[in-house]
Amino acid sequence: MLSEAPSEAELVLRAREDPEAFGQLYELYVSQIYSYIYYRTGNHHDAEDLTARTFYQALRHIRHYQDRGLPFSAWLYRIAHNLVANWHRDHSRRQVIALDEIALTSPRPNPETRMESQDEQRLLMHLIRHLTEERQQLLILKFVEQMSNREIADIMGRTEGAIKSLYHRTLLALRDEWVMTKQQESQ
Amino acid sequence: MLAPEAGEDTELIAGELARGLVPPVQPNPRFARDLGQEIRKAAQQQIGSTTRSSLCGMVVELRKVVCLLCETLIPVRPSAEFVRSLGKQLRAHAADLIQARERRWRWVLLGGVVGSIVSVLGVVATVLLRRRVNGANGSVADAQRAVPVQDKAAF
Repeated sequence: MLSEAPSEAELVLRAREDPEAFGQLYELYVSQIYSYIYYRTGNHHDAEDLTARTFYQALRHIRHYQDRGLPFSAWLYRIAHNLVANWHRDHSRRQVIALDEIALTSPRPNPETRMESQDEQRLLMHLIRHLTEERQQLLILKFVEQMSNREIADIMGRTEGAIKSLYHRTLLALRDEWVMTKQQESQ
Repeated sequence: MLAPEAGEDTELIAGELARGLVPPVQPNPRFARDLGQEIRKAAQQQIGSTTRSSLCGMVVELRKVVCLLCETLIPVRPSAEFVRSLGKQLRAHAADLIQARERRWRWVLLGGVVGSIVSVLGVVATVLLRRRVNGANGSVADAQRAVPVQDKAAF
């Protein structure tokens, strides 16, 4: 008879006393947390450092974790979010994402088109970096992690409607900035 | 714009207008109606086309931004080496934490047991000491009580 995989809640309970259970939780979420932090910091070095700190902090406080019906990842994202906020405060510098390191999703045979697209991606990342923290967080969770509004609401501690509205406002703001920058470039 | 009819002396009309003899020229109702319709139509076209085109442009730009977001914000995975090494460190740290917690708990338990024994011993010692003191006090009192009797006997 096949033994059923433990649920997330069971793993969290076991992780308080069992290092292996915590290891399983870590493996479940490390990529998501890393990805989130990478887009918030803009480089792999800090992303690795902050990811490690996120999980160490989670390990230290897992005994005090209370299951309130939200996914465990919401708690991890909160820790990561706070660490990133502190990181920005400490560094008070804005880094540009090294987009060269990010593989493009669609292969582009024409080098000129590819170059243009990369320029556009750089510009977009630059514009994203100038959005507020919560708007950046929303875009990362929406596009990188491809979460639903419900899941994002759980993580950000907002209602689903508020997230929907924030998402629309963010897209419109981004579009306006995009158009303005493009117009300035063409002049 | 309405023009005065041919053959009319514009200066005369102007003078009479000034004197209030001729009522101000009213536009032909049919002309006014037709012109109104044309203007309304043109305005509708203009507003409609502007809104449509700008809306179209806005949607296209929005779509472009969303497409770019999809292309740019793609999941980034950490290196396998990093994941493995951090996992190992975390498991070791978790084991250390649990051991430290158990050790701490053991010390707390031991402290509790020792404390209890010491307190019980303290109570026993106090009781014994008090008894001994009471015993000693009792014998002294007896002796004091005995002395006056002897004195009386001596007198």
